[in-house]
Amino acid sequence: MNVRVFFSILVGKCLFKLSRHTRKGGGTALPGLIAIRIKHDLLTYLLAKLPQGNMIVSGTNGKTTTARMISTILKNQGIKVLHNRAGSNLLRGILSTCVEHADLWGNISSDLGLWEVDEAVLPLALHELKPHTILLTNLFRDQLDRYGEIDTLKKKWLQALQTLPRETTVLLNADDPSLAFIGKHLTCTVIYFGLDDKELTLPQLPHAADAVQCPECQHILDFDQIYASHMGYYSCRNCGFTRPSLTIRVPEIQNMSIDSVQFSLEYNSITYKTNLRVPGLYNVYNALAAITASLSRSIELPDIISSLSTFSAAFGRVEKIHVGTKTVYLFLVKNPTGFNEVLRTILQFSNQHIEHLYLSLNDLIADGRDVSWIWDVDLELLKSKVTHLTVSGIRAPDLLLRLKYAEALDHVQTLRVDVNQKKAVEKALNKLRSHETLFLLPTYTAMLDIREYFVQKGYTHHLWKD
Amino acid sequence: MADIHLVHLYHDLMNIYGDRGNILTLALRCRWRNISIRISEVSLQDTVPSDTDILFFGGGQDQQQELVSRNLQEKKDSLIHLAQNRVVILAICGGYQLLGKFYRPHHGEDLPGVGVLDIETVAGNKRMIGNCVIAWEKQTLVGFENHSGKTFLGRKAKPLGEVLIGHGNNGEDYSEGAVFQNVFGCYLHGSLLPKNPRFADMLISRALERKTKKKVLLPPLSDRIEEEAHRSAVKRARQTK
Repeated sequence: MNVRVFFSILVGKCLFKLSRHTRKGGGTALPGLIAIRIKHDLLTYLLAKLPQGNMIVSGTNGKTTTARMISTILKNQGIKVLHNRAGSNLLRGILSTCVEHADLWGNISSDLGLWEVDEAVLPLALHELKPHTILLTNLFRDQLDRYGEIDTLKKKWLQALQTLPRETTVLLNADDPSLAFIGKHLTCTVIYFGLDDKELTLPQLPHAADAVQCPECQHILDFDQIYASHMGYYSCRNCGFTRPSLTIRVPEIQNMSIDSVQFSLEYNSITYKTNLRVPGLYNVYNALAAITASLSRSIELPDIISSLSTFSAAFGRVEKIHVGTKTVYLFLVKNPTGFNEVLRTILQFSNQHIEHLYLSLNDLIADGRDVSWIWDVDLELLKSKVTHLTVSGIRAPDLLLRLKYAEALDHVQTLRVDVNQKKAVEKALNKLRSHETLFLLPTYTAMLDIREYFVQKGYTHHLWKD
Repeated sequence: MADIHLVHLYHDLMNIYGDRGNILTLALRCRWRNISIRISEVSLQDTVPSDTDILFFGGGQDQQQELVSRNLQEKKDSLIHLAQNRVVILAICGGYQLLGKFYRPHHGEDLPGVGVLDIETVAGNKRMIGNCVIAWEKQTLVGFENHSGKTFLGRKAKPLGEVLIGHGNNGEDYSEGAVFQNVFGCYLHGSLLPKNPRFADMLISRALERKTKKKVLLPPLSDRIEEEAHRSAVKRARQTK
């Protein structure tokens, strides 16, 4: 028996119980942090024992939802999945999950480790977790003060991925030029997925688009189709760099609504119909990524599709909460691309007119200190489309100013600005008549505050039970 | 003919960190006063219009900055011409660095700039990130800086302001930004102009004065929301420094 393993897990487990008991945030990171002090390679040690190995999901947007979709699909196949669920995606969060599930001898009774990994941590995670499969969703600008520029991140990813053994499988969203670039420079197996629906294309690159330059030769890319941000069908007339051909593709998306979307999926020349109980184009991307990951584990496509049709969203990402006869939709917004997609989705659902809207901007470390990004969000979409508006969060004054310069305040009937989140939510709810709907769009820590309010009132449950 | 021709230089390449807010602010603060404004986007293939009244040049990523630096050499003469004719120029972060003499990276050759500001920038080892407040003309300017380049001013450039909170040009001499005649550069994202409306109005006045050769007094606007955002950003800068 390894004494250090024994003690590190014992201490970690005690801390886990303690932090749950004091109800300080569900204990997602601290136990791992302490355990690794005692045995520094504990993570690699524990994970090497999993019979079906480890899979990593990373990228700017969609990793939590995608990982949860994969987990749902694998579990329906009877595979025991160990998964860092509560969005705790730094190495210490992963380690805490392991410590929680291991016995004192370091044995974990799971088959496969499924790890959502923060994009800045990916290089280190590849080294520690030794995954056989890596799924990358996309690469957008997000919290530039924390992650740095996407070109820098792209280079770091490529360097780290190039050190992987040849038998590794890398699954990539081909619509993202940065990821296609990475794929073209890898020697291991690369599988591409993407969209192919010409009806969906945006009229021009949004302001939040990042990767307009060819990653190979720096020439400006031509886009035949733009699905979201810089994702689409692109080519470079200078060096011939183009979107790679797709193994798994979505030729058509139909019936987008606030809670669901349908799309067809083509794989091995057969087309399948898929229903999702989560909305929006971004969730089609998430589902497509999850499908690709599940196929790489040799699960049959009809089984995958049937599992996905029962899937509901991760906490706070898209959440429907019932408050008596009133309905609340909670959409996490954390960067320009995600914000734009959410705006498009709720506008489409509300027939281009939103009765009750609540926007909230915080600037804590987890949100990003820099709030400049709101100027890249197309808040102009809200111009004369909102009746009752609440603006909240630590940086509510900044958000209000952004809305003024989007000329989105002009036709608002009632405007409430309140940095106190719970009061603001309560007032916004009171304004709702029965059967009306409130859309809440907070940044990450603002979402946690709002959820706390709904938990206290008994309308929903704590996130770590998720 | 529009009263003001606003040119957004490399709108598609130097556009991260929300610098677009500066364009929106100039455009709307003119429109709200019935000053007509035309906006042109000028990128790699385009020439800089000779009738430009205000030119804006934002920040970008390192890779884009390299490409822009090369392309900028074709536009150098027209930019110098604008600056000599006292056209109002505002540049932020990467754009600011490129208006200077050069940017010296850790490895490889210097990236040449335009040289309309007497400044030099060298790559630093530490990224200077955070909320930033500077003293400017008996008021404050507030923004967010995120740069590793350290900028040093030569004799012909004056600092835009003095650092109260943050790192400023180089983290050493408490200076932030640079001014020469009607050319302004600084590291403040945020966006800069929405939260600093008096600075925005100063740019508009200067552009109109240059064009009409008359003293311009802009009609005041209701800046309650702007002032509140400014105040709260200053407060936040104090809390997070």
